[in-house]
Amino acid sequence: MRMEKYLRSMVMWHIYVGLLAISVGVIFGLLQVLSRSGIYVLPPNIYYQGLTLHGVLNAVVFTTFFIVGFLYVITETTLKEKLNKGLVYLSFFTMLIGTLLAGISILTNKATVLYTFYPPLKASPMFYIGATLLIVGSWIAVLNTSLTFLRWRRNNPGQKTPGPMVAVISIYTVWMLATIGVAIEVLFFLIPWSLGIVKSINPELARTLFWWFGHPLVYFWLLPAYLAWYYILPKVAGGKLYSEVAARIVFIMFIVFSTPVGLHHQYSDPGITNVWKGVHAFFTFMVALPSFITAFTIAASLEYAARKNGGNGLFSWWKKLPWGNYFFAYMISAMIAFIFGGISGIVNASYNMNQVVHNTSWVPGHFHLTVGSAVFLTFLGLSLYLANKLTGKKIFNEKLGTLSAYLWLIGVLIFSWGMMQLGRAGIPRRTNLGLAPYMTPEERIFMIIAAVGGIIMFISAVLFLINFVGTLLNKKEKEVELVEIDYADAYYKETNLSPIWDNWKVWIGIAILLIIINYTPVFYDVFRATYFVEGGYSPFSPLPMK
Amino acid sequence: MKGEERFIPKGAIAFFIAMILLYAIMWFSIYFLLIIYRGG
Repeated sequence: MRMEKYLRSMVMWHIYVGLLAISVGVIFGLLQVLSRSGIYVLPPNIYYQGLTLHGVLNAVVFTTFFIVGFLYVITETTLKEKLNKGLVYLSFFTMLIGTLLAGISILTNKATVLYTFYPPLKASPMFYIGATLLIVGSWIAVLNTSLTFLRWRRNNPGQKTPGPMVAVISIYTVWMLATIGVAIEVLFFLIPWSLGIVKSINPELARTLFWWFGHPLVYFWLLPAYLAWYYILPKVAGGKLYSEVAARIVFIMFIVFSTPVGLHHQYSDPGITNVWKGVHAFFTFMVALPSFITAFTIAASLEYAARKNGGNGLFSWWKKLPWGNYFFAYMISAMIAFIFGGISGIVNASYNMNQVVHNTSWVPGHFHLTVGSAVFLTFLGLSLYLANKLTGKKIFNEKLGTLSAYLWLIGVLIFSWGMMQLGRAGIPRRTNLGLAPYMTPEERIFMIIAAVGGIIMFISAVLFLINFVGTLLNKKEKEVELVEIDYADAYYKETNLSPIWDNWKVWIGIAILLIIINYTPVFYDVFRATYFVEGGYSPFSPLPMK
Repeated sequence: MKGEERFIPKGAIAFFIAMILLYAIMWFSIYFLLIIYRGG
């Protein structure tokens, strides 16, 4: 596929901004773990400012920029249709301005509200406006992609949507449905409140709107990783995607089930009836199903590759996978971490068991395995891959890439084990434990273990950045005109596919219906049982100050 | 698939079963912790 020079350059700029964000974000990650373990204790204001930077830069800025850039490549290379150049620029600069506004607010300590920005913690209006622009910029990218897809449909009547594009549609649908919640929260409540136009805020309403967005946000991060695992990894490993239909069903299931699940983050919140928390718990298990299908389908795809490479036995075929390939190393490390991230997530989602781990160190232990590894490592591997494909420059050192990937996996397994053990003991998250007098010596040991893991992760991230910058400094091997992404063939192809599996209106309609069914009674509960407060909450009492 | 030897992903099935067993062990370890917390 001939990809215009401007787009190749713009995709790389999306990656540069994302990687610049994590370059700062991982430093604060290291400081967090050093402070919590008591090795290097940060003052409280710096601790929470750093925690906000760590969350916003790594989990929001890096992911959003990377995903938008990556999906441009997937859209053009699968549809063979051009994106709108003006919209690509408009989207990028809107997101960039938003990021700068939010970043300046956090760096000047005017938005130390963590990445969940729960009121009554209040940030400067610049932070909320910046976050809004970041999201609006991504909406422009969705508009651009949608227009391109609709043009492809008009030009190719009767053709089914190509597999990787199914993933793109799923990712952007999840994103659009999710961001409705946070858009209402920020535009109608947080911005007027922070500007002083309205005096009061309803924290429970804001939390409910946030988690309407906050959980499907996880799938916005995760599904581009699934896209790479399904459609690129099998070919890099030397095999085929085991089942094209399974991949399509998985991405459609995410459209349907991603959003009506937010209450599993609010099991402990007052004012919402148990029935609806239970319903959201049920749908959370439904959204785990496509991940189980993914585990099997990707394993089968890799097994096919390994057996073609001489692998045999029930388990020993694993040895014949290309463990020394940098791209494979990033992807397989991401997936191994996700095995543990998956089960820890199922524990979180299990209604009564959530009470054991709720708001404890278990939670960051869990999401460093999911977004902090499954997503992060996949995106790092793809960053090197795209740098090679889009600039024509050789990877600086493939072995360094492989080493970095496995080092992160080792680090995160140690880090998360330490954090989860602390969580099981009831040690809280988002707390500067280096200053806490209530930690026992046994618990301090687990905190040190987590710190050792965190240091290894930091070293891995530095090695990645050296490799990435080294790649950019390499001389061009060839002039890039055709961008060839290694899309895998399917072993079981989609034949006689029912039109329903390519009818996006149906699936998006069902998703909207489920959101209405699952959230209408919840908002009724919230408005009935909670109220707007002026003074916010005191940290010394769970009751609102009136 | 045409012209290829039929591929049955026995290894993937074994992996999936092993993963479910691992999940069960980890899930029940927290479940029993819950029971202990409740004084059971």
